[in-house]
Amino acid sequence: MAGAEANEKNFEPVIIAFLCNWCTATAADLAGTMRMQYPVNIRPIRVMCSGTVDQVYVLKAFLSGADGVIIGGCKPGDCHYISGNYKARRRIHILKTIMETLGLEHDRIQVSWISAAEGKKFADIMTDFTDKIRGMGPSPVKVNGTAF
Amino acid sequence: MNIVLNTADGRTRALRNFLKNMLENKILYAVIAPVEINKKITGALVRSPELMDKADPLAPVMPVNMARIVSDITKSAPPSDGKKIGVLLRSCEARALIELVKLNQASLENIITIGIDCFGTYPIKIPETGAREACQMCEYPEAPNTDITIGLAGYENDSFIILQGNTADGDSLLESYGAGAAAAEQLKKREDAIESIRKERIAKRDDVFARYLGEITGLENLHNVFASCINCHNCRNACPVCYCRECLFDSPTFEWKADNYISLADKHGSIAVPRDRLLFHLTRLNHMAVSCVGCGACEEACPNGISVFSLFRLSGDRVQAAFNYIAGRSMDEPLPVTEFRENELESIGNQ
Ligand code: SF4
Ligand code: SF4
Ligand code: FES
Repeated sequence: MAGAEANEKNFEPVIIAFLCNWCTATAADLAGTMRMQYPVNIRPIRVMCSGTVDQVYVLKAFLSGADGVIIGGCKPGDCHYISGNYKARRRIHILKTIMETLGLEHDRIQVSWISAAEGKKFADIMTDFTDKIRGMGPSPVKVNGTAF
Repeated sequence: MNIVLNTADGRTRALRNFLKNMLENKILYAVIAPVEINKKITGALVRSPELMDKADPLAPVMPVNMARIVSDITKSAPPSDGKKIGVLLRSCEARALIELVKLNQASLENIITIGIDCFGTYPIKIPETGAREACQMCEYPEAPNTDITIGLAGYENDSFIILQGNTADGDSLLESYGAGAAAAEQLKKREDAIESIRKERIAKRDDVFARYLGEITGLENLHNVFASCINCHNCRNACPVCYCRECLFDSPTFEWKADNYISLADKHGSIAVPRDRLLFHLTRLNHMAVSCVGCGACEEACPNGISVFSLFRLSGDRVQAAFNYIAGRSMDEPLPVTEFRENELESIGNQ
C-alpha cells in the first residue's frame, strides 16, 4: 500500500523549500548553528535568488506530490540582483491566481521574506508553515488513487 | 481620416480592388492576406497586384493566427524602407501582434496593420457547426491599435463600407486612394453596431465562464479534461503568443529514469501517463495567460478536442484582471512580468 495513504492519521507533510542563497538559506544555516530546530518535513533547495524560481518548479513539486512549497527570499529592497524578489512576487501572484481560478489549493504555496540574520524567524516560519500544511492534510493530487 | 468604399459589386471585390490599387501604386509593396487557392483558403504574402483578385479577406476562417506570421517574417529583420507590407488582421490577430511586439518577437517597422471587423470564424474541421465558441464570446469585434480599420459592422444593408485611418501612416495611405469621407451618421451606425455585438458577446462570455467553472475547475475536472491529452504540444505551436524559441517541455529536463517513475507510483499508488501533461498546461498558463488574446487557436489545433481554450480564456481573464492589464489593449502598457512596483502585493511574502 502506498506510503502516504497508509498512515493518514500520522500524516507528515513533505514540503519543498526554495531558499535564496543570500538570505533565507543563510538564515537556515544560522538557525542550525544557533541550535534552533526546524521541522524535518522541510526539504530545502538552495537557489541563487527567489527570482530564479519559475512557476514550473513550484508546479513540478506540487504535482509530484509535495504537500506544500515555500519560497524564501530577501526582503523587498534587499535582493542581491535588485529586483529578483519583486519579480518572484508577481510570478507567484500569477500562480496563485491561476490555482485559485482552477480550484487548486493555492494556500499550499507560500512566499516568505527572511533575511540572513533572522535564524529564529526562519525556524518559526518553517514550523508554522509545516503545522498549517499538516492541518490541511495531504495534497489532493490524486483522482481515484491515480496522481495526475 | 476616413474614406467611403463603394461595395455595389460586393465587399470582397471592393476590398480586392482597394488592396490591388495599393500594390499597383506602390503605396504597399506587398500584402499579407487570406487568399483562395484551389478552393482552399491559405494565408499568403502577395506581391503581384493581379493575385489580389484571389484575396478573400472576408472568408470566415482563421487557419493560422496571422500575428504568428508577422512574427515569423519580421523577427530577424523587418522589411527595409520602401517595402512596406500591409497585413490584414482580425481583432485577435491584431491583439496578439501587440503582445508579440512587446515580447520583442515581431516588429511593426514598415508594417501597415489593417484591422477588419470580425463576425467570427468557423472551425476548420467542422465548419457546419457555425462560429467557434471563442469567437461567440470575444468582446472585441473591432481590431484595436491598427493603422487602418476596415469598418464593416452596421453596413450589411448598405452599398458601402468605411475605411478609417488611425495613425499618420494609415491616414496617408487612405489619402493616396482619394475617396470621399464618411458622414457622421454613417460612422455612428458602425459604432452602434460594434457596441451591440460587443454587448451580446459579453453576455455570452459570462454564460460560458459560468459553465467553465463547473466543467474545468478542481482536480477531478482537470483530470477529465486532460485524460486524453497526448502531450503533442500542438496547442502551444498554434498559440500566437507562446513565443519561446526553445520550450522547456521539448528538452529532457523532466525525463526521469524508470526507477524514479516507479518510486513516484510507489508513493501515490499509481501515476497517470503520459507524465507532465498537467504540468505542461499549467506552466503554459503561468507563462502565457497574461498575454492570451482568446483566439481559440489552441483548441482548434488539438487532435483530441481537449477544451484547452476554456482554461486559457478563463485564467487569462483572471490573471490579466489581477494586473489591470488586457492583452493587446495598448502598446504602452508594459507586460506585467517585465515590470513590478515596490509597493504592491504586500500579502505575498509577509506571513
Ligand atoms: S492560449 Fe489559446 S486562446 Fe490564448 S492566445 Fe494562445 S491560442 Fe489563443
Ligand atoms: S491539449 Fe491537445 S493539442 Fe495540447 S498537448 Fe494535449 S493533445 Fe496536444
Ligand atoms: S538575491 Fe535573495 S531574493 Fe534575490
